[in-house]
Amino acid sequence: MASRQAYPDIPLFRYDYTDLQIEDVRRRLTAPALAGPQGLEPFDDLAGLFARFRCADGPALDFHFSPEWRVEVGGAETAYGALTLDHVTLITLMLPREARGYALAWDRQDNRATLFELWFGNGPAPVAREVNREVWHGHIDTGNGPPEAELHAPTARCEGRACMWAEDTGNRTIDYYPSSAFSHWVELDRMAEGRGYSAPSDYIKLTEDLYLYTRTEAEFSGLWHMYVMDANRLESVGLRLGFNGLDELEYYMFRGHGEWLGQLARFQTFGDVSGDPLAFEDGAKGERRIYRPLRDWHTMTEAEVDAAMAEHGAKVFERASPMAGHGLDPSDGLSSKSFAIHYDGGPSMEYRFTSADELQWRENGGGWTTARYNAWQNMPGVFIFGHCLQGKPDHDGHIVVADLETGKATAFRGYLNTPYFANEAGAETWFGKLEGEGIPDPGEERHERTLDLLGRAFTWSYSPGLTSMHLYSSPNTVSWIIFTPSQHGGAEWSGSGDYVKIRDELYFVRWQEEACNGTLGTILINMRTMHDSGIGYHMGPEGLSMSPVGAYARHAGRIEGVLPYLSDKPGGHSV
Amino acid sequence: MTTRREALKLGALAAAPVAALAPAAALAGDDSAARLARMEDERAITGLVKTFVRRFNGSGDCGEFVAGAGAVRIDPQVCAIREDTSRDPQLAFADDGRSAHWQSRAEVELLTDFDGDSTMEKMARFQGQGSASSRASRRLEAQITRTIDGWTISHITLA
Repeated sequence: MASRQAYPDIPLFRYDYTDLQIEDVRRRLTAPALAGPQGLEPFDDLAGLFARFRCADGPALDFHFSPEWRVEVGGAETAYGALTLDHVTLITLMLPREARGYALAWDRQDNRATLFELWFGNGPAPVAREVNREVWHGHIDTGNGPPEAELHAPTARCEGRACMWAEDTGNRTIDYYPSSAFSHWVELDRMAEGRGYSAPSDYIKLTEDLYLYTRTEAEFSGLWHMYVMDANRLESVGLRLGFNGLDELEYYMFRGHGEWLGQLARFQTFGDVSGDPLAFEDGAKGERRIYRPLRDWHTMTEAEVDAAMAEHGAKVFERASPMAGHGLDPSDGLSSKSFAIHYDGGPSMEYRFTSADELQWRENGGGWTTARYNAWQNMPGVFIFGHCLQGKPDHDGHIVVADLETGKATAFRGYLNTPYFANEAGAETWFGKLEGEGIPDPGEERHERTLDLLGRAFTWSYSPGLTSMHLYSSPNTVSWIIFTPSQHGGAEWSGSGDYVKIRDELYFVRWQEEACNGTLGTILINMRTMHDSGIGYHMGPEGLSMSPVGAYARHAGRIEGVLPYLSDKPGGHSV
Repeated sequence: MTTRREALKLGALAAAPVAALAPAAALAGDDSAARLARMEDERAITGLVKTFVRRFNGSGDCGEFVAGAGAVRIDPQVCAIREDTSRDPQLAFADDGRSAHWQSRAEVELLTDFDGDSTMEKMARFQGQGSASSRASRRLEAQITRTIDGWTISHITLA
């Protein structure tokens, strides 16, 4: 078990967050609720104001504000915090002994308002420590009827942007908004690794300048982070609520200053700025689509992996995959060739390619083994090929990019039996050189890790209707976003990644779907043809599989502003 | 090759024009009876293929039009076939007149179920997208055989 830390120095998906019970949550909330949120800046004094929130299909809620930052709401008295950004006041409060509270964004100019009800326990979140939220768009009733302007509403207007936000607490995060339903963030201070994570999010348009953003750090701490941001002035006021890795309550408001980092393209039809693309009708209160991959994944023990391998073995390029519907045809360009790859600090692998889909390999001069492979040549002289290594205790698979014109080779070695889940793929990156007839000796030169892709995003079309966008969010993280039929960015998740430059505009990328689906994904991206060829390595109850990946690419852009913050973060993690 | 205009001039096909690629021997001389028989065969085959497509798009039960269970080789993703009326079908009879090869263009509707284990498919399902439909142009080819009851499809594919 890792040491207990508020913000762990291991990946959040490896951290064993306490399964807090609702009684425990209530106990930890009681005193802070009565005291109100913390904050470094004095809160706005709303004493004497009477705000009556009204909306079409939600609660009618009256807020009576008293001196000393006290408020009576729904018959209960508690403390509130309030910070104003331009003409929008954000008011937050928790009700004592209820593990429930509110956040209200109130436009003081026209009285439009958005109300969040916040609660712990009793679902729909599967654990009590995860903050639930329900959202209502309405107005503050001043006796003059609803405002004429359209109410606040979910929006796609934020999609594609990224900002670095520095709170007055000193905490800084890079917030990517590549989806209209999820977001991706990188902690710059509380965690040193520079790893990105993905979370369900709300994006609500308040005015042309002002937007409201939330994220629920579901599947991790369960913390709820939200702010109202001024997109032009790059200022924010916000709230952070929930329990960190030490189960300490974080209940504070902050003022933030942003730095514009850049933006990606949006792909909806022209004119479509609608939001909340994953909404579903008739959901229970607070219910929404929250991607919880580990809960749907069939994890296996080492014994189960061994048994599945004994029964089913490895299926290597045995059938077509919808992940390669738009892929290149396999190449026979390696057929009849022979070469060796000497990996620095790794093995020497010798190959005889006996046909377009059969090779013989041997490691460090050992015995020859015949294996099935597929290869693709997606830039002249550069091949990506993959094969499994029968007999290896961790069921290794090698996915290799060999540049026959430079003599350089790089492999992603996939393997099973990681310390976490036996059927989760680990990976390591090996750099090496080729030795064979007609292949030049690169001497000491090798392919190298690159920052060329950092902050960049590509859309991928694997097959009709099967699409995604990759966001290369940090030197050690690949994030992927699934498009909805309306081409909004929808669900998003992320895993460890590594990036290697093969040639100009040709990159070898891997990602591991840790605590997710267990797959090792690898692709060789040709930015000149905007096409990739890749190989997936996946273990499940039906055995190990190696399958093709191939898609048409579109360049969604690059968020170059992240480079100063993330360039020094390490890449190439194994598990 | 018989053009659409020529086919119409022949007055052979009420339903749709077919470019008939007949062996020269079959139509040699002034054998009007043979010509009439060939025209009737063309009409019958055209009707057979059209009825097959109509039934495929409807109930899907095409058994009565084919010679056997293995005759239909159509990608299971194909859920509808629409005739491409911009191009004439091609029909070629065997020398002995006992079989024929049909070829035409069609726009097909493909329904791809995202039922696999890949993360993309799982996430698509999570979003409520269990499948995707798309359209593609395909070549409809059929081998037609004469039986004592008339013409039947011995093999049909979409490529």
